[in-house]
Amino acid sequence: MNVQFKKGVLELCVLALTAKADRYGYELVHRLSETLEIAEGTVYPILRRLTKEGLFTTYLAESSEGPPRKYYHLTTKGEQYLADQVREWREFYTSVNQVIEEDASP
Amino acid sequence: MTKQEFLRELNRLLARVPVSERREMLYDYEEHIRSAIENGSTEVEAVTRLGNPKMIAKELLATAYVQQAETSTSIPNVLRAVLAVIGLGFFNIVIVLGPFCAVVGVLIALYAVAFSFIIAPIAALIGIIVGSAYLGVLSPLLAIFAMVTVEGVGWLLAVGAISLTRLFGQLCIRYLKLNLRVIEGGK
Repeated sequence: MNVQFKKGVLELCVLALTAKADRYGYELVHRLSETLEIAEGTVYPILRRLTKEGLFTTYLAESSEGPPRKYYHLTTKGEQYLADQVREWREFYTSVNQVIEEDASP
Repeated sequence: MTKQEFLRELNRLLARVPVSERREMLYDYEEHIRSAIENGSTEVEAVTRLGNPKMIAKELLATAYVQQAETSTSIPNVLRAVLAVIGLGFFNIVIVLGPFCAVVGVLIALYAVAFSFIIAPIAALIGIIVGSAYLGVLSPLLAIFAMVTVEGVGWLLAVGAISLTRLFGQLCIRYLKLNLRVIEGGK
């Protein structure tokens, strides 16, 4: 998939994945890499930035397998931001589709 | 690359980040590799999937520098943040550097004008005292009045230029943050 396409929506996907449940880093990255072809290491700079901007809070929780894991929790500010982004994405998606349907299909 | 090699390389590339923050950054990758292994990956496989440490370091640095420029807005901090964001790819040279250079150019011109307005009346005064300046049809009173006016305008311009610079610094940071949104997540 086109690299520039992907970069623009990675943030949105990261936020969307935490909407229903808190997730830890590997879980998030793994879910993302199942659908989008990404360099997994570049998700963490995004997580750090969103945390610093107050869209996430983080906490450590014990895991059954060993040392504790860092979980990401979407804040109210984060939920608000996600809702805005999803709305914008849908509008964008609809307009692009409209152009494709009208002018590119045979 | 093994986990140790990867973490050591990342640590080296992030040398300019304060220790406590760098430790947090490295922790995320350490935890990730550990979790990947718990989920059945081999160590080398997990590290390979993370991608190039250089790209990762660039993104972490850009975010850290923009944040730092935001908390203490100084010319070196803003400049460093601009360069870090540009470093994320060729694409950004046009998008970040273009507008940046244009505004810096205007600011420099403004400072130059202010400086010459401040300095010109002083030079003229010295000229009159030394006796080499030619006043022409101007009466001495009018000449002094003109000098005071130009001097005043010069200082006003200087003050204006300084507050514009400050405003530009803040706008710059906001613009850089907008850019980070779009360009993070390199492959």
